[in-house]
Amino acid sequence: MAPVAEYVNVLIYLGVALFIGVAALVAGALLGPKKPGRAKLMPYESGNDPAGEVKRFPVHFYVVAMLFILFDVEVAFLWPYAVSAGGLGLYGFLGVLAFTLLLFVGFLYEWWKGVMRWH
Amino acid sequence: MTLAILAVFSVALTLLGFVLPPQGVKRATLLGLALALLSLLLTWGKPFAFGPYTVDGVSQVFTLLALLGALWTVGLVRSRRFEFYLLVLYAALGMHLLASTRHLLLMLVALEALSLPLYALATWRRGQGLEAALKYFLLGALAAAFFLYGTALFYGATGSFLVGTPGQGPLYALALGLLLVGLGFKVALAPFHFWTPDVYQGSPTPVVLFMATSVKAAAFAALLRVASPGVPDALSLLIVLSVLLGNLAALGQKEAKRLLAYSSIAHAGYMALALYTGNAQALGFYLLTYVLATGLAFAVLSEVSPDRVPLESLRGLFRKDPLLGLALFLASLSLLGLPPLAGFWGKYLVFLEAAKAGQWGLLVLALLTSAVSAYYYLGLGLAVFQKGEAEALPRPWARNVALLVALLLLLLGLFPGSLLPALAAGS
Amino acid sequence: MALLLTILLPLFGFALLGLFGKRMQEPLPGVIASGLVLASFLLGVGLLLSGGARFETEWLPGIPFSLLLDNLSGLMLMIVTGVGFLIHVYAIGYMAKDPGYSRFFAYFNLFIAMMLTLVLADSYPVMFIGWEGVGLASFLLIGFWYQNAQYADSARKAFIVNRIGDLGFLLGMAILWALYGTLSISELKEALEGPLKNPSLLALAGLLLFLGAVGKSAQIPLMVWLPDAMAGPTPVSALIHAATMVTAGVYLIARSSFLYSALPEVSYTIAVIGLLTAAYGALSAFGQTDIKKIVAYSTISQLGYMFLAAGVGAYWVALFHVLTHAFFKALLFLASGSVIHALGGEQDVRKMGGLWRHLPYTRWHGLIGALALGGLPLLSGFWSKDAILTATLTYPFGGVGFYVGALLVAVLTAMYAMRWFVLVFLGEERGHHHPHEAPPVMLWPNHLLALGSVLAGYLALPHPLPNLLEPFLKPALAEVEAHHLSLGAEWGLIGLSALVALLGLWAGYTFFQRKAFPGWYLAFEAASRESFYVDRIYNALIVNPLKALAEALLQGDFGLLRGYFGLGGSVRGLGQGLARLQTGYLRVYALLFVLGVLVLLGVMRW
Repeated sequence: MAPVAEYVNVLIYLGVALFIGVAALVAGALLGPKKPGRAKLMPYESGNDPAGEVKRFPVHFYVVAMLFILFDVEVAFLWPYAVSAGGLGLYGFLGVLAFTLLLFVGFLYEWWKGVMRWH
Repeated sequence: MTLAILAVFSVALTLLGFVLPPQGVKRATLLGLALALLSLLLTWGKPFAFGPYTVDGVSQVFTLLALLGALWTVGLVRSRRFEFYLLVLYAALGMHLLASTRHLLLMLVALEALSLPLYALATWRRGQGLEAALKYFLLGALAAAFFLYGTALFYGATGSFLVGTPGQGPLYALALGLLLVGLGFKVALAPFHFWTPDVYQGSPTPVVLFMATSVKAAAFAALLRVASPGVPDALSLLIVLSVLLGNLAALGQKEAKRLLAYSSIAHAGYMALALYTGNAQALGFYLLTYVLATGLAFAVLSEVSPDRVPLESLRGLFRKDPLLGLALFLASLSLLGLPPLAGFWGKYLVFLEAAKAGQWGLLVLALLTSAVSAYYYLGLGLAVFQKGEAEALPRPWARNVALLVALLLLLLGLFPGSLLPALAAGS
Repeated sequence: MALLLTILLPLFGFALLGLFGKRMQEPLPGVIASGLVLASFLLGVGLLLSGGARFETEWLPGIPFSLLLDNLSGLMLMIVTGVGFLIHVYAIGYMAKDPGYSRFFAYFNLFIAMMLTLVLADSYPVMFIGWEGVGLASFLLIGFWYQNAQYADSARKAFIVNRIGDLGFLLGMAILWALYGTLSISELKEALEGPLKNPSLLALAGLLLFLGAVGKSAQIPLMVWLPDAMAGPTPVSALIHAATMVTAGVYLIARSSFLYSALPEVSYTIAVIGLLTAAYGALSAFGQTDIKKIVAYSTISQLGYMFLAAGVGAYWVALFHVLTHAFFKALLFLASGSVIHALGGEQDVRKMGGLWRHLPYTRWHGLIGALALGGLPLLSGFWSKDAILTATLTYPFGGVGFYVGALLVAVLTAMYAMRWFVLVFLGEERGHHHPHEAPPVMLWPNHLLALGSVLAGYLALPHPLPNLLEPFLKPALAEVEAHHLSLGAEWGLIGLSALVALLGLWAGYTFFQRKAFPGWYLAFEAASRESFYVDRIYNALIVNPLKALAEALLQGDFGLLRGYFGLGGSVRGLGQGLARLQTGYLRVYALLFVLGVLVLLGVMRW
């Protein structure tokens, strides 16, 4: 049972963060000169002029990104397991095996679904 | 056992779906769900535990209800893509898990495991469903965040992830309140109900059936556990809001699925009354009658149209297909809680619990709003007898199930005692 | 069983004519109806001669369906079927060419059947069947020409006013049942011998039963329906609203004489109301311009006489007057009907006059009827009226006040009877008609009725002349000891009443032939024409407040209903307002969600 007092610091931190964010916006809005021009009202695209029609990214991009995350997370899980594999024994091994197997099934599903085929 | 069956089928069918025809996957899914149900019945009343996974009475009763809803949904759907069945299976797995644990982290995982497939299912038909599903997803994420926060605070307050651990202090109360928010979202308690009408209206009707029956059952199992050491007193606020808002907003609805969405909010409020005493028997019975009745209503609606069902389009259903019309009529009467039907006993038991807990104010409000609800339930139920040109192309399987469930509603209403001991043994 | 047949015969006629009358040729329904009534009359007389009859069968628990033919009901049966038969025959001619010909006779037969039920009943509930039945028949026949809204209203008025009396009848029965556990008249008669159980409650029962009689017999204060009842065809007025139905109240009192003879106060009330009604009817008759309404008010007045007689305890005298009145009043009505018939439907006496030359038979009928009503010595009306006058002095509940009052009313009666006669038959012709005498089928019944009007009085001549009626009725009535006047006193009184009657007749004969009337008379006539504003007073005091109350209740009901609808609507509106929170905007949902969380956490007990 943690005393509430410990969290007071967090509360102060929260308050400060909120204050700074709001203060920056308010100060900008109050102090900044407002002279809108054509260039200023353009969408911001990292300094370049907008390249005509905005095209949507292919859905494939997202799927591949998801695949990346999938295996990234897997690796993120495998690292700590590798560190303590000895201590966890057979039970830990079987658990990780099941985990990897499930990921593998997901991988197979994506593969067979044709995600890997890049048009 | 149940968990293993569901898990094996889920994994296996994920790959088998590529070689089997969709109908085969459907049959396999039905088989898996049926096997899970069977294993559940075989081990009825026998507790079992493996790590944080604990099968006890509550788990069995509510898993049973969830699996029934899943079976019904799969049975009603004829999808060309096998993923639909898979998603239901995944969700069923999540539901079973949610109902079978006291561990908050596992609960969170289970909650996500049942939610994510539902988000996907809700978008099964593009168009408006997509928008509704997106709202569902984002609000669901918000709710999950609250749940997670609650989990963290719970651990902070008690040093344990197991719900039911006694605790005190503002941190503990805050934790319980946040857990309540996360689960309240799933069972559609006001004011966390905003997704319900939009999603119910936009999603394919069988999916709505699934949401209204199975999800509610599983989430209430978790709620029962969370509330077991003592109900957060904010629950009464949720109940008041739910029964008021659900019943009142339903009055003006012109579309059957939206109407039933508000009705489900109201019913969530009634069910929550049983949390005060934590009587799983009463809650289980209520959920059973609710699952049967609302499932029947949605099943009939899905035979009328897979899409929206304005109340006018139900007119003349009785003339067109007496069985379906009568089934819808009985279902709405049971939802209303009219005596010869099962819904009455459900309400009776739950109200009794509220009385035992001394929640007289809530009880009076529940009775009053229950009376108000007669207006729209009768409007729904009697619409089938009015003159009109209802369309219905029922399949024999759906008709038989509808008949069976309608009979069950009547039988349960006439002999409620026949099932109560079984529920008691389970819990 | 034969007794039941007397009722069933006309009832059969009702069914037959009601079902198939439309397909019959014109005189046939009338002939059938008359024949059935005649059969009923003959059967009844036969049974009476064989010493009466009794019929009883299971009916309601504790209440058998019992009929009794004794001398009292026998007399009434003969009046009802005998006079009824004559009027039936008359109606064959009077109703000719009417589109509702067969319907008329069906109703007429229904009336006879119900009236016989009333008369023969040996228990109050059975009598009540007849009581309501004649009310129904009366309602149907007053509104016979129902296309005329005013006639239909009159029918309703008669029915509604009668209902007030019927309520009294019902309550009276209820009290008797509560007190004695039986409603059989014979049994009650036995039960009432000896000391009374609960005199005040019994008196209330008597008063309530009398209220029923007041309604049926158009006594003060329920007399307002009878003049309007003249909307029906004239035979109806003659049969129902003069000869038979309206005397049912008198019959009820006579039938219950065992009860009333034990209740002096109630009897006194009856006598007072009778006298007041007699005076009211007589006074109101002066101003009427409708030939039938004059006779109708005279009926009210004569009924008042009967109640006066019954009130003082002279039940047989009351029935004596019922008998003579049945003859001369039916005669008067039927003569009026003949006059109306002769003038092609004209009913206003101001447009009549001078008919003496045109109607060679009817003029005699009218004269005999008017003289009998006015109490010309040696005619039937004289004997019965004189019997009443004497009875007010000799019977225990009577008194000199009653005598004087009744005597004064007798003068008035004689005068307005002559007014009627003078206006209709004498003077110059004021209308533009071509009067024609009635056909024989209408004349013959009148001949017979005229004969009855002359001779019926000789059934009961004053002491020491023979009196047949009193010993005939005695066994059926309660014993009320009357003290006998000395011979000189009695005949002195008879001479006085004869003198008074002659005086009144002469005064009326001369007065109403005058061309101009004095101012006080015109003022009186104007008030009389409006029946002394009783209808208006009732409207102002009772009808309109009740209407207003009903209106207010209706408005209240609407208001309440609107309130409920409003409540429902506002609940619905609230619901729609709540549903409007469902904007569809995710940001709103999320905001409300978080707000909900905050409120939830806010209300928690920390």
